[in-house]
Amino acid sequence: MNNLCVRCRFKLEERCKQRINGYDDIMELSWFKMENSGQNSLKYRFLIISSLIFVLPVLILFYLFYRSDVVFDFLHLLIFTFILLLILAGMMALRFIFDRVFHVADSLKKANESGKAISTNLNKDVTELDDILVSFNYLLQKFDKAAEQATQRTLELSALKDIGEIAVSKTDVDELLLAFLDKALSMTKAQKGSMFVIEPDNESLRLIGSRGIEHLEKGARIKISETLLKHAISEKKPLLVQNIENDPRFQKKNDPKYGAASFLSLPISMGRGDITAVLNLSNKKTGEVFDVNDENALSVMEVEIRFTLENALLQAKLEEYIKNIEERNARLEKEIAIRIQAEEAQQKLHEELVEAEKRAALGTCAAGIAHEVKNPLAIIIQGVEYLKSTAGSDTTLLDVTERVKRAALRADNIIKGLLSFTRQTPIQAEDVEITPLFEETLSFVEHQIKSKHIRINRQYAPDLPNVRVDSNQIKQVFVNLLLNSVEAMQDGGIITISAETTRDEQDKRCLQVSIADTGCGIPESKIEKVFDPFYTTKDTPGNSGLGLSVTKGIIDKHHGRIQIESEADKGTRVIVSLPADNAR
Amino acid sequence: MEEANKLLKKKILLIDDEEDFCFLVKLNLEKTGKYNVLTTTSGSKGIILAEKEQPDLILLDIIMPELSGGQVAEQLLESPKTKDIPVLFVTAIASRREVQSQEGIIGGRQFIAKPVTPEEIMAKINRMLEHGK
Repeated sequence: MNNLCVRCRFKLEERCKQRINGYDDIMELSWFKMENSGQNSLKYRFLIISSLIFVLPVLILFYLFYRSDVVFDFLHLLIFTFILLLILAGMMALRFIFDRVFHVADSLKKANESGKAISTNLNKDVTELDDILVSFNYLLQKFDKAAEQATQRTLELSALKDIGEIAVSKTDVDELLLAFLDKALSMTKAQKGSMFVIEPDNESLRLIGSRGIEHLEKGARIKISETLLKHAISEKKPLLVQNIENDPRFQKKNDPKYGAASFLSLPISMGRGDITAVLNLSNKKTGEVFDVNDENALSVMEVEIRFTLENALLQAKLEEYIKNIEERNARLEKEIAIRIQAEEAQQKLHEELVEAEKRAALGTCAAGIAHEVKNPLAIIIQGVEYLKSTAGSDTTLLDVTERVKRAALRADNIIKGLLSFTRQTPIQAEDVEITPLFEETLSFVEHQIKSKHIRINRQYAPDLPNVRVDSNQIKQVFVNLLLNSVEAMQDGGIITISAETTRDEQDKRCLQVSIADTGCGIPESKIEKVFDPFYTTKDTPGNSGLGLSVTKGIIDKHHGRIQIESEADKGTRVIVSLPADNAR
Repeated sequence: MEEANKLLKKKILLIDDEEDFCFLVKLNLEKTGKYNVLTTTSGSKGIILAEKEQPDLILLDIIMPELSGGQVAEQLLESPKTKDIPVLFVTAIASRREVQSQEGIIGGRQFIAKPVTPEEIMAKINRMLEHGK
């Protein structure tokens, strides 16, 4: 700025001098011209030139026309007029130029007459101009200073803006500190710089990054007490050293590794004011020393850095906290899911235990009852048979004995169902092809199906897998289900038997068999109870209410599933799924 | 003549603690004229009777208060006098279906399930007598 100011001042002075000298030159020239030629001679010469320009071409033209015997028709006249107009235009232009020349000449003449007065005024002007120049120089200096301050402020504001942007883009503390280091380097024009953090022991510094310093490696540790930075750390304020060799605080020989002898350190604090990092700058590009402006700029930066670092730390803590909470939530959700699963498994196990105990108790009870009931039944049957053999032609007696026998057999049937339900008959498993088994079962109930005019619709999928089951027990299941369907269709209908391969909830292969009828269906309120022992929806005599209980017991023993879908007056569909992966 | 008929008739020993059952089976079987039925409600008495009377076949209940049918069968097998007499168990503890599904043989023994008709008893007896044990 100083240079600019000096240059400006020099140019201004030169220009003033030129202005004064220019007046002198013009005056001298004017005098010379006025004396040698004069205004009148100029006008005379102008007239001659004008005449020659105008008259000569006209005369030449006329002569040419005359010599060539040209007859003036309209076209020739037009050309002639055009030429004349051009000549007139040239004349007018020439006249304009000469008028300007005459005007200048007049002015010079007048200037010559008042030449002395102008010279006096010019000297006065020069004096005034010199005063103005001094004032202007002073103003320029002020302006220079203000501009310098403005530049500094601009740099600071730019640094703050950049720091703000860095703060937004980076959340890692080390990355932030290094970004600040780069910014400080560019702002102060330093070529070397480093950023240290204070170790938790408060006795050593750890380098997190450096610029332009070869011998320092990231992670290097130095003792605080062994470095000049201890001053900045202990005093908690920037350390500005303009020349370390002359500085009375140090009087130490400069280490050329860090460049010039001037350096600047800035302690960076956080939280309660504890110093957490130290920024060091050295070796300015311009070869200048660090000054108060640099220190002030860095101090302004430090305030912003502090807030940014605190924000970053808070952000990091918050993120870690959120992460911890999310992890804890995930763990809790997992634990809850496991607990729910365990509780469900426990509940299921408990239910199964209760069921097993109930069944065992019922089994024991049923076996005893069966034995006690079967003996009297056996006696009744034997007695009835004897009476029948002795009744002869007594039809009434025969009828009575037949009824008694039927009742006894019905009682036996109930006992038989009860025993089947409660008895844990072991499975004699074998690999079975399901469709022949089904066809065999259908033959057992063929008579009932035909007598009720029921049509059988078979829908067997191809390539059905074998199942490992106790074929006798599974036959009993199908017989029970088919007889239920037959009994539900008093007026005939269709029984659809389908078999297909499916997958269960654990994605294991299953063979699914369903028996669907178009019978009377089961009311919704009763569906849940159909598997309960002694529960029946049929009002026909002889139903023990154990058929579906026995069926479910058999399917359970085979690790299969049985489901019932039914709609009153529309029909019932029973779906039996059997594991198909265990067949050999 | 009566003695001759008696010789032609098959001698059946029924051991069952149900006295009424014994009475009625005896009645039904003997009525056909093909069987001579001895009955007892005690297992131990049944063994003595078997040794003494040498029946063609023994109908034996399983669940009995003093000696069970199984124990009686064991003793009969141990005795040289009775070991060759075929035994048909008449039981109320197995269902008719179970017995039928096993074709009347459970653990190598012949079974018939209560309640049983006289025809069923006689058919089984005849089959056993035709095929020996």
